[in-house]
Amino acid sequence: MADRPNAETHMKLEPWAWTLTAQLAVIAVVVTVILAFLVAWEGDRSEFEEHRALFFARALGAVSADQGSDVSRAFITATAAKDPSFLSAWVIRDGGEDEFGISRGQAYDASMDGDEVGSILTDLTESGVHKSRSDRFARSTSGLAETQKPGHVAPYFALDTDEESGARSAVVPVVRGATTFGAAGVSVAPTMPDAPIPWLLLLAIGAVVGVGGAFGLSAVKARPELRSKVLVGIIAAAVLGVGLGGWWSYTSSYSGELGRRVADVERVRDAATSLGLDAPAIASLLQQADVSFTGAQGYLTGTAPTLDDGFEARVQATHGAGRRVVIFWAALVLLLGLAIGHRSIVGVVTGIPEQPHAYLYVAPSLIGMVVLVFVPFAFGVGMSAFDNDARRYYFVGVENFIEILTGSRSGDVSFYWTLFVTVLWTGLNIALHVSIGLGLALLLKNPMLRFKKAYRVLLIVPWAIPNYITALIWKGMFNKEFGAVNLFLEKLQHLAGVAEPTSIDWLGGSFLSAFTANLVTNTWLGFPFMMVVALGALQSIPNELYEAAEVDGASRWQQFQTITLPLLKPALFPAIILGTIWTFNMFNIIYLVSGGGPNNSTEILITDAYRAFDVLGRYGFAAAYSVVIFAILLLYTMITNRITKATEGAVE
Amino acid sequence: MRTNLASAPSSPSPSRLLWATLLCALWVLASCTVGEKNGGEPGKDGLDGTPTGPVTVVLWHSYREAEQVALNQVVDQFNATHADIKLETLQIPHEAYADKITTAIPHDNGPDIFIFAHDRIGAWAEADIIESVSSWATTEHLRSYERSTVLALVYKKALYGLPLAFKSVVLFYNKDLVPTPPETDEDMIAIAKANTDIADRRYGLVYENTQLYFTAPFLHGFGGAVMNMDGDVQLDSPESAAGLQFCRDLLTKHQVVPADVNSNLVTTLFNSGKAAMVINGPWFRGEISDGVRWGVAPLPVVKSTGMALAPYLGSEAVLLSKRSPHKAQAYEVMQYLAGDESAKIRMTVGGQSVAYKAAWEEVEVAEDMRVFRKQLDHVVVMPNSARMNAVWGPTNQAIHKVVKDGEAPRKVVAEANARIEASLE
Repeated sequence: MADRPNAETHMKLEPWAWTLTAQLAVIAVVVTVILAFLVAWEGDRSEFEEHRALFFARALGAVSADQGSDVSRAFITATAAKDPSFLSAWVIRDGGEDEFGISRGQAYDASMDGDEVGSILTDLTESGVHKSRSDRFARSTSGLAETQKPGHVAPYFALDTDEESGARSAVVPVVRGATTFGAAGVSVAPTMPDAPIPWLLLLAIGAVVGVGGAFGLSAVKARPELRSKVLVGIIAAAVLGVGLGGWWSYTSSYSGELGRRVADVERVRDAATSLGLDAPAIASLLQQADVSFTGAQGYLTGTAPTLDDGFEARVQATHGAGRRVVIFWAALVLLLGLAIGHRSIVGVVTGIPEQPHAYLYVAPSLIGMVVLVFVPFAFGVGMSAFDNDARRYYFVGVENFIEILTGSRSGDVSFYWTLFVTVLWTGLNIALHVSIGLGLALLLKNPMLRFKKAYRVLLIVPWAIPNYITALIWKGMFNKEFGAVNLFLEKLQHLAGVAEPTSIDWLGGSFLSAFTANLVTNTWLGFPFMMVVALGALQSIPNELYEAAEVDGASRWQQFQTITLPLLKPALFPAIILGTIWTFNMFNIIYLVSGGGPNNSTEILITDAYRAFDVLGRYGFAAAYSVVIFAILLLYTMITNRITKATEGAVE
Repeated sequence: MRTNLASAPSSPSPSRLLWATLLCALWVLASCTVGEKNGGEPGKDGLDGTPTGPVTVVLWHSYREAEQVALNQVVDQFNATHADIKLETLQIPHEAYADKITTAIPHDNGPDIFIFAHDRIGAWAEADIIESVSSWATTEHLRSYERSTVLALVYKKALYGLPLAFKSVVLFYNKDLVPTPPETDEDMIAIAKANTDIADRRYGLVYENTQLYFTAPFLHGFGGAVMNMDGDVQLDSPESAAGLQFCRDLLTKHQVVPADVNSNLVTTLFNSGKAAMVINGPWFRGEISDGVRWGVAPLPVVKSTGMALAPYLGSEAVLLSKRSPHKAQAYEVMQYLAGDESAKIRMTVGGQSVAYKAAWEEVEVAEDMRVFRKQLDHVVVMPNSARMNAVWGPTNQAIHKVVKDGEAPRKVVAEANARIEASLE
């Protein structure tokens, strides 16, 4: 039988095992960091491309609103027609609404395709392009009522991304005077490259570092005690190197992005100048096109545009989120890898050649666990860095976690109250389960008891019935007017001579009543498990100990304290840890019995996460919540493992 | 100490080869996934070329029993009379239906058209899941449907489907206990009081009094509202507070409703004769047991305001998928499904309250169906904006606070209004 890898064993590893270990670790780290960086890049590129489409759409809308249809047509010719990245530019005139509120009679007022001007969209709707423009027109011009200001393009807009080509389309309403004239739309193809440095190059860098580091390690074979340190150093160097490389290319892209933004502003300004607009009109146009640009307006009226400090600071601030990405993921992977990974990887790597058959037997369940547990887990952890609305996912880095831990979800019950309720729920449940279970086990152990088998079967029944069904039945029993519990209490009050029996509104009354209802239900469900564990453990205590204690004159209670309890500990501790984790995540009872209780007060962490998933549809946020729950339980398990190991030593 | 790189423990070269292969595979895998780009052909605009054979149009629905029988009849009739279009149906279980639509259509696994209630139109339109049909449906044609059912399908000035049927809650009553149904709220309370005996666990009026859907009639009857069709939150008003106060009075002042109600309880009480009146929808007809003599009536009028208790209107419609490759043909099917022939079958065989106006004159309809149509005069179209999703949770809590906990309604609606608006930010 192979020895468990321990501190002494791994010092005697073969050089090739070290090579493989180092390669695996470094590659895993490098790939993760690269992926994270690329995701961040894609997120920020999206923002830039959308901003571009919106900028031009707003500029066109402002021209159409302030200068009229002819100037807007000339504007399109001066800007969009000259740039191949413009796929379309148009202004659609509103035809009014019918008696059902449906927009009718929309027609092209200006278009990059000159033939379309004047045509009614419904005549062109055979082609989906016009149809979708018609829809976006309708969507962007509705809901304007509160935001209308004469002569200004209201900040309302519709933004779309074509999934296949990546083109961004923006549609803004055009308001002339006091009425909605129509809408202006622009569609642009992406201009920023897919990745700043070819990903292949980055991967190659990582591989070279990994392999080089591994060979460097094997060269340290003469000094085995240095190996761990060298391995850690190589991993850190690789992460740092890739992180810095990504950082450099990322920051260098800022100037590329800024350059493009300035070029767009210049193009609009030049086109407006060529159309004969004067400086105030151009300034107003640029202000409407990009509301956040107002601070930078000063340099745009000059002859040669220069970068303004304030503008760059604003750009930096909006992209700060991306920076947190690289640091967040690199730190997370590094910590996890160091804390958990390198010893077990080493263990597996040495174990397989020594005992291939053992690993062959374990392989199916190993693969099953990887596919069914670890892959979804990794996916969930990755998902926790995103947030989504109906259309797409946004990379938000640590924002979800910050939102959870600072409890900033408006109006909902705070995270810390829910945490308190969860801990209280778990503690009380386990205490009740163990005491009732142990008590019943002791009773059943009594050799004089008849029908023991029948009692054991009956007492298993609560655990055997699916807890979903049990929860619903108990929910019915806790009904205020018709529930069995209240009927029973009423009978008791009658017997006690109370004239007007009060019935408790269990599920809707207060936090305490709903919590009690949940507690009773889960206790009914949970004690059989503890009872079975205790029964099994009690069988293993030899009777001679009790006989010896009786001879020594110990009372029943003393016998229990000194013999039963200590010998039960090895069996009960794992059961308690299991029970704690199950109860901590006991979704069914809370959800089905009290439903989260009056005003979300009896929610536990897992039901709160479910609400984020089901009601709000924020999958990334719910995933982040699950990661938080996992972290809490992991911490709990690590602490209890330490404690139980310590007490184990004391008992021996 | 071994220093030879070439030597290894029990199984030498095979295991090293295995590891080397695994590593290469990992590198290749990483390269493939990392290098994924947006590419491929640009999307097609919409098919308008002449088809060579019959075009297949796929319809999804979640009908069961009588409605499904009716729909199948309509489909058969369509296929018999249209040689160029072949209509196929697929039944989806109701619980998974909405999610299936939302996930299948964007991945081109969805239907061409599907039947669904109107309340998700806003969210689906924004997510590019459904296509507008404004360009095909002329204003003239839309006048052949009940007006409110069409209004339910308009989102941001575009029409997203054709209405098939409508449903709303009405007043069900036990004919043995209630000889004539009430016309005003005061009548209703009087009848309810006469039929309530708390010790005997009999109640005059039973409805799910902590759910917005069933409390809405009272809100609207006093002039209050939760959200309008544009998505503006309107909960904070003295009228809404008055509506909620009325519900509270039903429980504490008049004591005619039970405190802890769920849908199972409503059915059980009505069937055992312990509920004289129930506020429920057309689906309830299938749950009433045979021994009960029941009738329906429109919800009564509030005497103090002169307004009727107006429930939410649900408009069941056939919607067009954004990814359908045969939109023109699909619309032809939609028009048939919503039209005259189909409406008559759906009403007589399926028991639906159809939206096509003319069908009501052309067939014999039962008395209770006429009541459902009469209720249409006093309904509030449920907002189809995606913003409505944020309303249910806080409003249900507000109802709970006023009706069960007895908090001051004005303060509660103001708070709930603020919470809804904050969550919509």
